[in-house]
Amino acid sequence: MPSLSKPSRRQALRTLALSALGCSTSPFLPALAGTLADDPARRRHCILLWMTGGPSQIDTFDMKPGHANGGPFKEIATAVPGLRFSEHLPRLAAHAGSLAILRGLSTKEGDHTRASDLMHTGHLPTGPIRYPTMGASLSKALARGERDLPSFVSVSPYLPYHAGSPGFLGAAHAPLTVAALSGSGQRPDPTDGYAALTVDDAEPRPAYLARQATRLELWRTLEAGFLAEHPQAAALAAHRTVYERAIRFMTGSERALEAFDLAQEPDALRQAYGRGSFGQGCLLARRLVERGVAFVEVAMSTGSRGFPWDTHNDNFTQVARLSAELDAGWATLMTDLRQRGLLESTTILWMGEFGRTPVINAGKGRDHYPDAWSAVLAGGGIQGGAVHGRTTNDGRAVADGRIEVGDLLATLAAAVGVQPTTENLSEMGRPIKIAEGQPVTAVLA
Amino acid sequence: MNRLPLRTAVFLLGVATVFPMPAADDPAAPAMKPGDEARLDTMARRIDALLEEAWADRGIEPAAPATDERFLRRVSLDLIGRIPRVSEIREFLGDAAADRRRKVVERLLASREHGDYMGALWQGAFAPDIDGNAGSGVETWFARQFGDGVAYDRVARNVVLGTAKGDRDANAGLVADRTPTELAAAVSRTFLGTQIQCAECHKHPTDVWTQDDFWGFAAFFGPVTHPTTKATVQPRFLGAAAAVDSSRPAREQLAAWLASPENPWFARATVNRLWGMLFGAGIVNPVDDLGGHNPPAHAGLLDELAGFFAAGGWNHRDVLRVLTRTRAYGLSSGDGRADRLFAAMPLEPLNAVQLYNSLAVAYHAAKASPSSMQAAGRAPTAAQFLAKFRTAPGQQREYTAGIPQAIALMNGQMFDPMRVAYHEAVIASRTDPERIEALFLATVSRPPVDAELATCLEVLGRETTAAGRRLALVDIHWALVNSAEFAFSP
Repeated sequence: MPSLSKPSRRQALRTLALSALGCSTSPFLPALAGTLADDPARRRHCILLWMTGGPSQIDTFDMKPGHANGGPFKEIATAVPGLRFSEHLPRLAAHAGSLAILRGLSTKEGDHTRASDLMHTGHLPTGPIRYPTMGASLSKALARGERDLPSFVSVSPYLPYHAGSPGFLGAAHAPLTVAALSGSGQRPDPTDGYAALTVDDAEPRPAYLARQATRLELWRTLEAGFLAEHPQAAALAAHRTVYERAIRFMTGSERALEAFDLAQEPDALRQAYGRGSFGQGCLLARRLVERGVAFVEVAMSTGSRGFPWDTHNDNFTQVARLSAELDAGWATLMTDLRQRGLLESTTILWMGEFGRTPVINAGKGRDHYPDAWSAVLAGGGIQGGAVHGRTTNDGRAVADGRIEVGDLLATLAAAVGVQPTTENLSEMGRPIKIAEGQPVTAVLA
Repeated sequence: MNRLPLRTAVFLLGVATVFPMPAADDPAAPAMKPGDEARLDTMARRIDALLEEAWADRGIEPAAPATDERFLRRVSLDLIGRIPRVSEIREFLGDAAADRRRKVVERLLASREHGDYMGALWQGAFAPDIDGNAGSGVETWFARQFGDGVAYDRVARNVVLGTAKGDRDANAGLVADRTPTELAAAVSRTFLGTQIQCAECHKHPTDVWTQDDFWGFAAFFGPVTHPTTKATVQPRFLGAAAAVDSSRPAREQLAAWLASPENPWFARATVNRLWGMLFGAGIVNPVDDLGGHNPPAHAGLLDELAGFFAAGGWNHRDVLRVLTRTRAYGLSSGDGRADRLFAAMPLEPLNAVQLYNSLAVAYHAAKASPSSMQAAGRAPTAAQFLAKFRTAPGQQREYTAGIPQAIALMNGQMFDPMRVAYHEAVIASRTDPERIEALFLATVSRPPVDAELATCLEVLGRETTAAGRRLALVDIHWALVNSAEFAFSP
């Protein structure tokens, strides 16, 4: 089902002074036979790897060897000459040719919740406009009609620090959230030794199916009066939308629930991804992308608190452990997407809410640091092996190639073939761009 | 841990604490005194006058008044966090007294459920990062303060002073394991309605607060070092030019300052939060973002209500009494448009606590309290449920529940036993119209209109066996529980 705005979107793309146009003509090798490859409206996908808590740039992608701020980790060579990562990311280093590193990110918010809002929406949560999270605006632009699977899925977000709201775009663009963590960071018990990432109760039970027709008939009739009485209530329309989609998801003909059955995958592959919620989340992301889901966010929210990268104490022990989990999940995702011909139509963004202080504190930790930090792009639409931006030798400031959140989001949009200046109307009728910044052309393919 | 029911049980044992004898040093104990009525009415009429004048100035036509059924549903959700029971609706509608709305407000404010619900709300304000398991100490502590009718200036004082020594709940939840910066953020958010934590790393992006303001305030809660100057920071009131007197305990000075006339935020922040609790949005919105950058919808209204609260001995129940007596609170939701200056009541999705407690009412298989949902079988534990249905702070008017929540209500094993044991009011009914009316009262708090009754009778009439008719009644109940009307406060 092509969207109504397709012709104008194509025009807009032509005027985009970027080579992102390649997406509409690039060969796509479908992993699922038949239907997907034939779909003329098929577009790109996006996977956001969200590092809850704020990962340390100096101990991952912007190493400072030889400086006191650099810490004990060593650098290793990658597949790209001259590009070096932390020694704790060896498998990812092999994929450096598909990764672009942005080392000049500089933002202005150091509070977890507000910075999470900032990095997900491009705006601080101040004022009357409820800006949508990027998954909502990009999936809206990328999705092709209504399917049984929602076009935006969010995996294991830590809710207190999470900016997952579709904002003024409304509930139709809200993510399907699985295995969310609430305040105490508790997660469902693992099944078969792997993190459980299913939607509870989604398998329709006989008791429900037997009465579904009568129930839905009654439901539509009995709530009609209340809806008709309040025609201007957007929240009521949102409720209706969510229910219609939940019913489709449960009982639609496309067998949407199968996407979540990770047991269908070979055990060796599941293990390669890693048994935790991040590794299994990356595997789920691949299965969802394969089934046409436009945007998948996988949060790394491992551990008892739900925001593992917040390494105020004992940074190096924790980052070594977290890097191993990240390396397994992300590198396996790269390989898996590539083997299925999905990597060039899937763009990956890796980031957290801010970076961490170059100076190591008394507890061998690093604190919040939004002034100079890193994000990584990978896959479709990205100039692999590129590095943009440089920080000073002590890591405390951006020396050149400084970018802000708007530029990062504009770059992501451009990489997936969405014009960053695409506007949506806020509830006040004001047009709002998907991203306010300038795409970093140096990292775009 | 089954948070809500357990707490209910605790309060059942101590039900006498809801209306304690007024202590000599506690002028704000909740019992009404002669003369109070006139003072409350005067304030309510003053709010009416201010809003009506503002509506007239802006050419806003207020919505029609709400029906009695909708008023009862609204005020029950707002004050005790659940929909009314069938018996409560029938009692209310059967009361011919002219002041029956006022009487129901008094009954709700006097119930233990009011303190419990306030505890849940204030935990959400003070410690939004923790939920039932970790945060029950905070919730229980606030519930007891509100339930006991402790004057609100003393509630704040107790928090700041690390509270009542030896109070296990309070010390565990409120103070222990919280750093000075976290406590500064929690206290300023809850009692001053400001987000000074945004100034932790740099000047507040929109408000006036600087890093010095933040660290000066954090210094009340423990020794802190300024991140830039590396100097040990001296405690300083928000907005003050100089540090406090170093010869006296700093926290004592903070406790005294909070509710003093020198602090412009405490009274305003509190009445604004109470307003938001009843009207779906604060006079300043969000309710914890007061400041010059975010002007109130009606400055005079906020100031006068704050003055009323301070002059009356910091009694939160009096503020709620006044607000529920205003014309604005009694308005309908109109056509559902976002309100303009409180000229219609916004339709507000039930929060997680309201939804849990209301489902307990709707699935009321036995008698007595919400804890009967547990008794009815394998009902969800409150902590599980609340974790699943939790809404983000500041989004109270948005419908933010998603597909997993809808699925849990439609198809979830959580509610299985409750579905089978349908409502006692149905069992007590003799005719099909009575049974259907009972289902409507139990879920959407009103009787069916004729067309709805006809639809339900038609569905029942298709069934030829007793078992089939029973399933059809369950279907009607299912449809009502999953309707938008159930999910929203009118």
